[in-house]
Amino acid sequence: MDLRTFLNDEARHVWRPEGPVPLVQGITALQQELDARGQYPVIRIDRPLQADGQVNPMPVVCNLTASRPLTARALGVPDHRNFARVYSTKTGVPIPPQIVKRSEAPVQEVVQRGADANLLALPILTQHVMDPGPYLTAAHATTYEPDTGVDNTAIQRCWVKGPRRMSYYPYPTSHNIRNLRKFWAKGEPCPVVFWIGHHPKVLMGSQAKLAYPESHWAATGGLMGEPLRLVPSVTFGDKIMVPADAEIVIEGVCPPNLFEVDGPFGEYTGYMGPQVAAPVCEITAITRRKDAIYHDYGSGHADMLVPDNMVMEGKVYGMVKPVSSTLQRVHVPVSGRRFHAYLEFREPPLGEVRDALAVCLGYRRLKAVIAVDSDVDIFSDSAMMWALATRVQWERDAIVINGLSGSLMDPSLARGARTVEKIGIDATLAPSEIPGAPKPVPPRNTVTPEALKAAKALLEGINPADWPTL
Amino acid sequence: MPDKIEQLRPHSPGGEKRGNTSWTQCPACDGWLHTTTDLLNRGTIKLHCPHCAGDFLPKDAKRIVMA
Repeated sequence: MDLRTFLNDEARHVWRPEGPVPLVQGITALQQELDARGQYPVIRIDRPLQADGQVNPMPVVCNLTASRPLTARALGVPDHRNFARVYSTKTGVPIPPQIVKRSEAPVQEVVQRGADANLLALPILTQHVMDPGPYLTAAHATTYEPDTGVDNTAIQRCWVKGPRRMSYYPYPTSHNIRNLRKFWAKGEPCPVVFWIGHHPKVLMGSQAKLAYPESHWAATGGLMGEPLRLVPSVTFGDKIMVPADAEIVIEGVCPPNLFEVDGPFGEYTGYMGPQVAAPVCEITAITRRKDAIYHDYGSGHADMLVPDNMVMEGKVYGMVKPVSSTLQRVHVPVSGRRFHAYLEFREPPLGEVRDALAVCLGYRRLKAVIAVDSDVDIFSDSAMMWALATRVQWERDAIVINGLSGSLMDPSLARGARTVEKIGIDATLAPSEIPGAPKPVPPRNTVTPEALKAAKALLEGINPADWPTL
Repeated sequence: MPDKIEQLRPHSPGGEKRGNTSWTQCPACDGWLHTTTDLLNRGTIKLHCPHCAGDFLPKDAKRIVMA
């Protein structure tokens, strides 16, 4: 199971532009325009155009997981609306990884050590205006906790500054930065590897939200339904394993307390994140397949938001279901970046919705959580706005808590604040109070199923291209 | 740090909405870049201007407007 398996399985959804496309903003501009059109093909660029006018021989793949239905299908979930339950269940049944020999690892077909390793030979994108240079955006950074040897993996950005030098920005609350600091406290450089390109099951399984320290490999195996194949890294041996079927691996060390600037960088929020101080990573080796494909995530675009948010849905489902058994589905909408979650309930007993909201507010990434009944489509922002408009009295139905951990990249944070104000909104209808009697709320406007069927038949085959749109 | 940092007021007595982003002006090209206050306070790490690719220490910035 690898990136190629997925590209072959979904070949009819892969768009391959014929001409060269610039690595500097050209590919990202395609993603931006496709997002605006609501179209999400996988994009494979066979002729990525470098800033120096040369075509890089290594193809680029992006928008791999920009489509919810396609991404859910890749993970074996026929209906994307059920993704949260399936993801939560499968990653909760871990399958230990399998260690293979180097000769059986495609990602080590080409091994470049020391001065032979050259990051600048990779077709790395510069995505947005004000990005200071090319960034790895789909690099899965794996470090380990020095006392236990337990590994950790997270997608974290790297600004490539030279053939063997880059800044590496693990978020200040991440498990990887904890590992870096533990090595540095011993006066030692922190080993780190970055692996790029794999099947979406592996990409998303490795993003399971786990305790610390806890390896992501077994949770990934759970989502795959089979052991993830790992191979020892060429620099660090079995201290850091890497996925044997990845496309590219970059290995290096972060010297103690050595920082340089990183950013500004176009973030998931849709804004440019500020320039920050970030650890430096010195590259020791690059390994790859002979015909490697470079994978990029369009930061702040559906490409990155969809898989990230779907993983969050699994996490939220796993947190809420034990306390609110009437929870049906979860949606973390792209419109809310990572800050919003919608919860669907079926006939919740008194108190259960607010229990669920309280649980969700403890999840660092979420800032607003809205709960609705199962007659509201949580995959429609318009339907959610209707529920808010007609089922909520603000003071009665909102839980507001200040001083919680949250994203420091939120442009609305109070000046100097290190914590966030969050809200949970109960937008469900009032429950029945007398058994057998209707809920004490008005019925919805509707038409009969027969009338609706007839209307659909009448509209069948009509071309509305020249109808007014507003 | 430059002698004169323009420090925005930390609190809003009336609870008005105020931004949280600090801006630094490049001494070479006059372009503005936003940074964390942590990066500015370290003082020893060179900032990188995304407009002209020049590097400079915070003390050499033309202006710093700190939120």
